[in-house]
Amino acid sequence: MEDHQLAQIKTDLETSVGQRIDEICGSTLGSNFDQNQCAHYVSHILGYDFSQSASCKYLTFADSRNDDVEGATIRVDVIFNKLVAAHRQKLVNNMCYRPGLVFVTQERNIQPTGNMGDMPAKHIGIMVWPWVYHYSNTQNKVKKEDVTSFINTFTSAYAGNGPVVFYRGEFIA
Amino acid sequence: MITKSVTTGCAVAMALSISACESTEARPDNSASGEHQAVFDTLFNHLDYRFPSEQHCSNEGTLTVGEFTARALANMSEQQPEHGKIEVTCDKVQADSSLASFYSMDMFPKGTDEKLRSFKENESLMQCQVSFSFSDKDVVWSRAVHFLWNRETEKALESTFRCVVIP
Repeated sequence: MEDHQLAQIKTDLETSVGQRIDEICGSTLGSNFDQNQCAHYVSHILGYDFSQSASCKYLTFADSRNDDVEGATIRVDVIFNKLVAAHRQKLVNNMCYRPGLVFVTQERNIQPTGNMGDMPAKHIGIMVWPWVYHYSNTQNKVKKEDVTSFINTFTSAYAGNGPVVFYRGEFIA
Repeated sequence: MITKSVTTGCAVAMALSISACESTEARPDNSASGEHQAVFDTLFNHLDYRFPSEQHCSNEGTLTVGEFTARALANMSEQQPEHGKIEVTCDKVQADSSLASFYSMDMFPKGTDEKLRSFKENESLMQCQVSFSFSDKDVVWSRAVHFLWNRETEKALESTFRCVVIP
């Protein structure tokens, strides 16, 4: 990734902190505050829209006709599985990383192929060390949290059903 | 827009047995309007309908409405059932060429758009969804089945069935 692209991402991330998803996306999904918006948020910031079947723009007929609605991928596993194996690695706390994606899920949701499954407990954010920018569904806003706090939060939230794993991924070109 | 919540007690009962999805146990047990109930029943009348593989409803490729629903309910039950809910939501849509165009996307079976083009514009179609969702602390997810429903005939258009998985 070019320096100016990274600089733009950092600017967009800082601007988004504290925003509600409907300030970022005008789709029907964007105004549904009961939904998980983590992948939706990350995809809008990074311009990811990998398939119509997993895009906010094509969830409803009305949104598909609305020129003001820009498409963005809404599923964590779709983003994770776009990464080639060499571009994703288990995250180790207290290590310094280059900017990239950060994923969390239950260990049993990682398949023998290394791909992520479709189990519900999964989350995604964007890491610009030592910060993780992600959508807090309970607070209903974009949150900037340090990596250790992020790891602690989701280890606790997902721990009920077995071990929890964190990954770092490269940005997808 | 019509929204209906279904008690979680019902969801738990369904999660315990896949076959329960076919029975009256699956029905909303609170103040159902006729239309809500009919839409809800429509979903369960299509338990054997297989979603197209292009929809990526699961990592194993295609699966049926019944399997998709059972998984959602099992996930609800595995976590904390009291934080789960089932909702039926419908919006009226006009049967016109743009609606047909929406259903020409390759996630739907071929010919779906042609079927819709044969409808009269004043046909009372609704785009409905039955969603299963869970929300507790930072764990939030939903699994939904979307489909077009004809109010006059009280039938779903089979080839418009679609699963939506978030996140």
